[in-house]
Amino acid sequence: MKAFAYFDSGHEFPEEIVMAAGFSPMKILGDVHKGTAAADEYLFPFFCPFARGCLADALENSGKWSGIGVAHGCDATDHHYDMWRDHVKGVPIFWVNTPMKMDQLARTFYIQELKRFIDNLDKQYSVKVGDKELKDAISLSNQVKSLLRQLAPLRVKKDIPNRDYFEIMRKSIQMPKESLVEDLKKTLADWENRKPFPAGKIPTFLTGSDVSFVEFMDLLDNAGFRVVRDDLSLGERYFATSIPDAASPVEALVTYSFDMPRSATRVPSDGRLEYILAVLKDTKIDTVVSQNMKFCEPYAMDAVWTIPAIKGKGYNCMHFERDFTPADNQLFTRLEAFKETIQQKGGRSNV
Amino acid sequence: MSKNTPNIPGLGSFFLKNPGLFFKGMKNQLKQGVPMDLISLMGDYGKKTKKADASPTQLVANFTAGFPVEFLLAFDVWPGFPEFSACTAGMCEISQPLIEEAEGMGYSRDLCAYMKTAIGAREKGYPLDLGGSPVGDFYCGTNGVCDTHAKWFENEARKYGRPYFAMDVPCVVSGSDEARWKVDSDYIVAQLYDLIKFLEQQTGKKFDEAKFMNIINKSQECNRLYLEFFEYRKRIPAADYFIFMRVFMFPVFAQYDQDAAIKYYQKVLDKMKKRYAQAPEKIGKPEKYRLMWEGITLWYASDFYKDLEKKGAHIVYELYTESSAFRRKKTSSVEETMRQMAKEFTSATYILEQDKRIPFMVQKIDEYSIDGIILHANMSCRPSAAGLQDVKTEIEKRTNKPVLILTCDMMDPRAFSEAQVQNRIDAFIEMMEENRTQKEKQIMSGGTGQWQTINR
Repeated sequence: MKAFAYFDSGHEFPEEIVMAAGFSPMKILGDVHKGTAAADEYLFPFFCPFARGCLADALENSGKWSGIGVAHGCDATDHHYDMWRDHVKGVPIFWVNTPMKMDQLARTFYIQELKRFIDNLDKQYSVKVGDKELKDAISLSNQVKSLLRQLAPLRVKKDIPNRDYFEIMRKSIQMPKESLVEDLKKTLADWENRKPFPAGKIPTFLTGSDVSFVEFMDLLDNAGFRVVRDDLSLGERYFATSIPDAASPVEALVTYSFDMPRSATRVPSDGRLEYILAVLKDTKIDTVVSQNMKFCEPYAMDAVWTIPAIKGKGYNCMHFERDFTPADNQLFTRLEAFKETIQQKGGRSNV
Repeated sequence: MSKNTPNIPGLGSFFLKNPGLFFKGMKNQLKQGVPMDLISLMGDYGKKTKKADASPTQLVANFTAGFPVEFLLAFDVWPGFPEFSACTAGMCEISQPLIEEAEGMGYSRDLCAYMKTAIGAREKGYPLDLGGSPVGDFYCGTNGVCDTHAKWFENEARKYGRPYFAMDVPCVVSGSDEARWKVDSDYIVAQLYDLIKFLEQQTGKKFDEAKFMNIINKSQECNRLYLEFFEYRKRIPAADYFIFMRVFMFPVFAQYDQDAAIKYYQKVLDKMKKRYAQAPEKIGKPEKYRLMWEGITLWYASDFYKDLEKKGAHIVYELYTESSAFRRKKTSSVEETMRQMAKEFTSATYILEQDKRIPFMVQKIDEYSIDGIILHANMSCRPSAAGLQDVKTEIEKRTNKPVLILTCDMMDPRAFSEAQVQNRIDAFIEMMEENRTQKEKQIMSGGTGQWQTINR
C-alpha cells in the first residue's frame, strides 16, 4: 500500500478518508537533522521551522508518495499550501479546510469540505470511497486509538522513557495501520513488563506546540522530566477519543474532530485549559512543561492566559520557546534549574 | 450593560503626567504631513470614541480589520478599532515601549506588533491619540485577514469577561473552484445571520433591515469615492503617495461617521478633478521612479518614505491601502449584501491567494506605470509575507522590473536597521536607473522589445 503523505500543523487531517481510498496515511514531520535549507528558498526564516522542515521533506521525498494532503491548521499551513502547490512536484496535492469554530454551522461546513475531499480523491485516483470503505477505515483507526489508550496510562506506573512514547506516536502516524496494530500489541506486552516508574523522575504534563523530533523528548527525560500526560497532536489528542459509530461516517469524522482535546488553533480555545486542568486533577501530576516552537503563533497566544491559570492553581509550570534543533544545551540548563526548584519546594507549588 | 473598567484617559491628563512623551508623539505625528482636514476627521473619531467609552448607555464594540463594521452601526453600537490606535502610536514613534509592555505580560516577541502595541497602550493607560483604546462592551473579530485577529480578541474578551463573536472566514487557496466558493460563501452568510442574533442579544434591539441597507449604501458610496482616488494615482505625477494613503484609508476602514467620510472624500476628489484638468506642466513634476509596495507600511519610519521621495522614488500604489475598501459593489437586499460580503472577505487584495496575487500585481504594475516593486516581508504578519520570494521571482520574470524584499516589521522599530535598509534602497534605485537607461537605448534602437540584449 503506497503512502499518502500529509502536512498538518495539528491533528486535523482525516487519515481515515485516505485509508478508505486504499492508501496508507503518513504525517510529514520534517527531518531536524537535515534542517530547512531547501524550504528557505520559498519561506522566510521567521516562519515556523517545523513547517519549513516539512516543506524541505516534501521537496526531497514527494516522489515516494501517491499524494499529499495539506490540512488547515494555522496561518502557516493555510498560506504555505500555495507554495507547496508550486514547488513540490510530481504528486497531486489536496487542500482540506477545517473550520476555526466548532458550532453547528462549522459542522455543516466541515461535512461539505470532507465530502469534497472524498470526491477529489475519487476523481484523481479512479477509486470509490463509499460508506463501507470509510467504516472499515474508521474501525481500524479506532483499534489503533484503543491500543494507544491502553499504552498511554502505563507511563504513570512503569518506566517508559519519553523516547519510547514518542516512538509509538511516530509509528502511529507514519506506519501502515494494519502492521501498526500488531506492533502496538507487542509494545503493550513489553510495556506491561517494564520496571516501575523510576525514582528521581518528575511526572510531567507536556503541552504546547507539537513535538516532531525525538531528541526534544530525550532532552526532557535527561533533565529529569518524564512525560506521563500531554495534550499534543503527536500524543493524546490523537487517541483520547474514538471516532463514534454513526450512520454517516463523514459526520462521525466531524464529531471526532470537534470532540478531541482542543488545540490552540480553534476558537474558543478555553476547552484546552479545561482539559489540562482536568487531567492534572485526575492524575495528581503537579508539574507542567509548556513549550512553544519558535514562531508558533496559536500556542504563543494561548500561553499568555493558560500559563498564569495553571500556575494560579498551584502547579509547577515552566513555559519556554524552543527551536527546530536536535540539541539545545541552554534549554537543558534551564530545565535542570526548574527541576531543582521543584525539588527544593518539595511539592506542588509555583515556580 | 454596565461598564466596569476604567475609561481611556484624556490627552490633557496624560500630558500632565508624561509631558516628554506627549511632545515626542505630537511632534512625530505632525511631521507626517497629514492635511488638517484629515487630522480633524481622525481627531473627531478619537473624541467620539472617548465620549462613547465614558457614556453609561452607549455600547462600544471593538472590531478587527476585515470585520463587517456596518452591522455594528446598524445596531447603534460604537465601533472601537484598536488597530487604528496602534497605527497612531506607530506614527507617533512611541510603539516600542508599548510592545515591550505587552511582551512583559507574556506576549512573545514573534507575535503581531499591532496587537502588542494596542495591548501595551491600554495597560499603560495611554490616551486614544497615542495608541490607547477602550475596553469593548463586547468584541467582534474575524480570521479573514489572519488568525491573530481572532485569537487576539478572544484573549481580550476573556480578560475583560466580555462576550465575543468570532467570524470564521475559510482560507482560500490557489486553485479553488466555484464549488468550493459556494460552500465557503454559505458558511459565511450563515454566520452573518448568527451575528445579527448576537447583536440583537447584546443591544436588546431588533435588526432593522432598512436602516442596515441605508448604512450599506453609504458604505458603498464611501468605498466608491475612496477607490476613485486611486484612478488619480495612476496619473503622472500621481495624486498622492503611500505616506498619505496610509492615513487616508482610515475613514473608509472605520466607517464611524459615514456622512463625514463621504463629504471628505468627495472634497478631495473635487480637488483632484480640478488639478488634473490643468495643463500638464501645472499638474506637477513627474516622479523619477514610480514604486509599488506590497505589505503593511512601516508606521514608525516616516523618514524612510521621505528619504525615498528625496531620491525621486515615490510609492504610487499599495495593495494594502486598496484592500481597505471592502464594499465594492452595489447591492439592494440584505441577502445579496451578505453574499457580496462573503466574496469581499475572501478576495481582499491583502490576502489574495498566490495564483491570483501575482497576475493582479502584474496588472497593477502596468496600470500604475510602476518602475520598481518593494515587498515588505513583515515579521509581524506571516500571512502577508508568505509567498513573497515567489512573487519576486515571477514579477521580475514577467515584467523585467526590479523587485526588492525588505524584511522589517510594520510597528516594531527593533526590526528596522536603517543603514542596511538604506544600502539596499540605494542598490534598488540603481537597478531602476539601469532599467531606465536600457529602455531609452531600446527606444533609440527602434523598440525591438529585446532591450536586455542590447550592449551598452
